[in-house]
Amino acid sequence: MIEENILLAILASAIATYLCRFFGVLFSKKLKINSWLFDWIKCISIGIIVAVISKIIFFPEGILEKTSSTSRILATFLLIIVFYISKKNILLSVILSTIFFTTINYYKISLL
Amino acid sequence: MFTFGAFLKSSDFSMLESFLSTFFAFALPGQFVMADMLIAGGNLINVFFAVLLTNLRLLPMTINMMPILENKKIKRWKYYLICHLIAVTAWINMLTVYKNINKEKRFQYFFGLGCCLWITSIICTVLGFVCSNFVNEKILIGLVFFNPMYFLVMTLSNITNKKLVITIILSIILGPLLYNFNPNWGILFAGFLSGTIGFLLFRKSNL
Repeated sequence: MIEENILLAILASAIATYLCRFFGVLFSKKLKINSWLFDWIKCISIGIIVAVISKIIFFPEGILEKTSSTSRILATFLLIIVFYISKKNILLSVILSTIFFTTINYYKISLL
Repeated sequence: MFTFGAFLKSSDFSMLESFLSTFFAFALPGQFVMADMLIAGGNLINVFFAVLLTNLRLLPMTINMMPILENKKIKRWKYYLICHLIAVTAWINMLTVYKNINKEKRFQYFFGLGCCLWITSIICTVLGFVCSNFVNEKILIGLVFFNPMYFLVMTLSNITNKKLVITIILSIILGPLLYNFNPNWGILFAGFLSGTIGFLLFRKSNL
């Protein structure tokens, strides 16, 4: 990847991000936030974020490529289990699953 | 934002690029999607639309915030500047406290709150980037992995209805699947498809 691409990607994402806010100000008196359109937008936003996360877990790029897929999948399951057992404690679940994942990969513990 | 700095470092960003990312495209989910799309080899159009669709949630958030900040003494163009500070944390905080703030002072209050969060985010991104130079690679792996886990759990905590449950299940399956078919557009299409199916299946349901 060339340096220029990263800068252009930052510019593209800055424009995309600002447009969302800009139109929010522009249409603040014309659009109603309870409409079906925003409900749909919320579903798509969450869909994209989860698709990216899922792709990172199954097909990571960069430094995570060096880790085992079993460790990534098990850490994700641990995250979800701790999250629901701990009555949706975000910090606890993220920290525990990250510690689990780091330990497995630090000591190269074979899981399967 | 600290671990996101480490994530950017592992995605081959420079310190300046990490700084610019949070400075200009301040909204963590969009930045995360942008960085991953780039290392996956996505082009600028992919990045633009992926970030646009990810951050479209800012549109209703901004619409929601404008009547709260409204003050006839403030010139209109200033709203187009302050809107850059609307992100989840500032938005939730403002919605929680605005009734206790004099209507005339709300714009200034939000400016202070938003700027504080924005500047802190920039500093933390750069700090995370710098600190990742000094940690063992195996620890860095943990810091980088923190990011997708954090986003996943934040998303799970946002599940309020069946539409989102279906959307999440579908995108977990479709994300890697469509990415394999088309690394450039697969993720974007998977998110769009999952969200649209989830929405259409339970369109009339609020549960």
